[in-house]
Amino acid sequence: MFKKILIANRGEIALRIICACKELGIRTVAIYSDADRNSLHARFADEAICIGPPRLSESYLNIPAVISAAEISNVDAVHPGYGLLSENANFAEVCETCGITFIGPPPEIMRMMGEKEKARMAMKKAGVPILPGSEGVIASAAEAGEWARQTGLPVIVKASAGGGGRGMRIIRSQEELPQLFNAAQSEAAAAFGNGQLYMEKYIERPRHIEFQMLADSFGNVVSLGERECSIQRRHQKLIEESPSVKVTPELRARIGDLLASTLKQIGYVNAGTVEFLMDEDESLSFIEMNTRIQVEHPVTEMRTDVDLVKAQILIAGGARLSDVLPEVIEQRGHVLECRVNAEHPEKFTPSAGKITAFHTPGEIGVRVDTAMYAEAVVPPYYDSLIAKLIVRGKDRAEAIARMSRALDMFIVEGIHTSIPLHRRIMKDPEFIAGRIDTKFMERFLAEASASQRPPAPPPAAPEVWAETANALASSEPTAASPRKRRTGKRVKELG
Amino acid sequence: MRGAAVPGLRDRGAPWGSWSGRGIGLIKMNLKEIKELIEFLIEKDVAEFELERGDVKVRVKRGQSVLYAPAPSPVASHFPPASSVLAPGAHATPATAAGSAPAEAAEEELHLVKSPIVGTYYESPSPGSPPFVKPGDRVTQGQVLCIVEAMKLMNEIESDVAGEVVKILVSNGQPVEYGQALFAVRTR
Repeated sequence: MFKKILIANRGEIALRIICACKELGIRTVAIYSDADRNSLHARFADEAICIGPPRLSESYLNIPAVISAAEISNVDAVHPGYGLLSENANFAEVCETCGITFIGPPPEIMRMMGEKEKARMAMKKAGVPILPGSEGVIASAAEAGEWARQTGLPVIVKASAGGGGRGMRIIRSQEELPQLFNAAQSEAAAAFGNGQLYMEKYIERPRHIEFQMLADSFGNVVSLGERECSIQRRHQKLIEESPSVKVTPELRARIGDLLASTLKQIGYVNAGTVEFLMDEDESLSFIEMNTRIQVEHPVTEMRTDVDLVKAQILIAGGARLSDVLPEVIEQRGHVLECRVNAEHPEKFTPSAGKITAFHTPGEIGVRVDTAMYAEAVVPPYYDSLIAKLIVRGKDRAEAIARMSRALDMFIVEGIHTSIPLHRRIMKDPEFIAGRIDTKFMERFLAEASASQRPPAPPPAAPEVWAETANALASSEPTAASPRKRRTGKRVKELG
Repeated sequence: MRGAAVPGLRDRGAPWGSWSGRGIGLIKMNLKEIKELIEFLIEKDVAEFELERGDVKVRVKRGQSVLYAPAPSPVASHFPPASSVLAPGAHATPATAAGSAPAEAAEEELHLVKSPIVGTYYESPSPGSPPFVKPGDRVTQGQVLCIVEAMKLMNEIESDVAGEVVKILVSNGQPVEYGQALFAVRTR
C-alpha cells in the first residue's frame, strides 16, 4: 500500500481524494497555485507545496512543476482527479518514468480511448453498439442520400476539418438532403478551407446514460450501474441521477456484462465511465469513454455504498476487486446530484469573489462535496464548480423532495450560484415526470425567458447592508441570526 | 471586519425616520442623530460609512486609513495548517512558508529573490564546487545565484536585482516551492 500520495488537482475533488487517503492511513501532499493559498485542500493535506502562479498552464497543468513537487515530497503515487492532467497520457508516462504510480489506467489505453475513432472501433469490435457514422468522408449528396437511406433518418453532416457548428446540418428528409448537404459543404470549405464532410446518425432527443466501471490489474472488471446525465447546458452537466428511469434491471445487467467483458478484452485497469446516448426507442449508442474518476461519481457512491476513490487507490496499489468490493453490489434507492456553480442562475456569467456566508444542508440522506467555506474567495482562474449536492431517497419522488429541501437550506452569499436554477428545475413538471433528454435545458430556459420572470435577486451582500441600516435604526447591537436575513424585506416595506 | 470599509449604503429605505422616532419617510437628520451614528460606528468598529437618502448624504470616515486587505483566512487560525514539505520538522504553514523570511528582511527592507519554480535548491554548479554566492557578495542583475533542480533539469536562478547578498535563506539540497524566498539582497 502506498505511504504517500500527491493529489495533482485542486478544489473539491482534491479534498475528496484527501478524505480517501486519510481513511486509508496514507499521507497526502497537496499542490496549489498562488490563488489557492488559502484553499481547503492545501489546509487538510499533510504537506502542501506551492507550484506556481494562478494560471493553470503555469501551475496545475505544468507537468514539470507537478512532477518536481512529487519528487521533492517523495510520494509513491499521484492521483490526478478529474479534468486537468487526468486524461493526459503523456503525464501518466512521465510519472511512470519517475517511478511514481499513476492512479488510473495504463497510458496506452488512455490514449486509445482519447481518440474518438479508435475508441469507437474498439467498442464496435467488441460488440458494443455505437452511434452509426460514415467510416470516412462522404463525397457527394448522392452518397449521402444512400448512407442516410441505409442508416435511417434523421442524420447529421459534419465537417471533417473543424467544429463549432460550422459545416454542420441536420437532415430530416431525403427531399431536403441534397440542398443541405451542399450548403454544409460550402460552409465547411469557407470556414476551414476544406469542404470534406462525414455523417452520423442523429438522435433528436437523446438521453445521456453512462455506466460506471471498475477494473483491477488481474483482468477482473465490474459494472456499478448507470447514471443519467441528461440535464446539461452547452454540454456541461448540471444534474445527474441514478437509476435512469429508462434503464430496466435487464438492460442494466446486459450492458453491464457486455462492458465488463469488453474492458477485460481491452485490458482496462482502474475506474472509468462509458457514455451512451439513448434514442427514443430506448436503444443505446456508445459515444465515448472517460478514463478517470468523474465529477458525478458520488451518485454511484450513494447508490451502491462503494467508495470509488478508495477503490481507485487500492487497485493502483495492487488490490483485487474481490478485496475492494462486496460480492453483490446493491443498488439502493434513487440518487440525485445538483452541481452548484459559481455563476448567475439565469445569465450563467461566472461569479468569482468572496463568499460571505456559507451553510451546507445535511440531515438524512444528504451529502455535500465542497472545498468552499465562509470567507473563502472563489478565484476567477478555474472552473465554476464550487459544490456538489447529492441526495438519496427511497424513490425518485422522495429524492426530488429531499433535493428541494436541501437546496432551500443551502446558503451561499457574496456570489451568485446555480442554486436558484436547481430549485426551479426541481419544481418543473417535465423533470418530475422523468421526461428529460439533453435538450431539456434549452426548452426550460426558453420557457423561462418567455414567461419573463423577475430578475434573480443580487447576491445577499446588500441584505447585510440593510441589516446594518436596521441596526442603526434600532440603535441596539444586532446579533447575527439567520432569521435576521429577512430584514432585507422589512427594510423595503418600511421604505 | 476590522479596518475594512463597509460598502456604501445606497438608498434602501433605511428607516432614519424611526431613528428619530418620527416615522417613515423622514429625510432630515439632526446633529444628535449624526452623533449617535458616529458612536455606533465606533462601537461596531466600522471605519467608513456612507448613506444617501433623498437629498441627504452622510459620509463618515474614521481616522485610520481605509485598507481593504483580504483578511487572513479564518481557516488558517482554526485548523492546524499542513506542514510544509520544505522545512522538515518545522511547522511552516503554506501561507507563511514564503513569508517567514520576509519578517526578518522587512526590518531592513531587503529585496527577496524568490524561486520561480518548485524543486531542489543547490548552492553550487556541481557537487563539491564552490557556491555561486556567499553572504557579503555583491551581485549584478542577471547574475546566477543558485540552481533549482526540477525533474533532473538544472535551472539557473538569476538575480532580479543588483546589490549585496545579505542572507541566504535556504540550505543546500533543500526542497523549495514556487515563490519561496531564497536570498535577501540589499539593493542600495
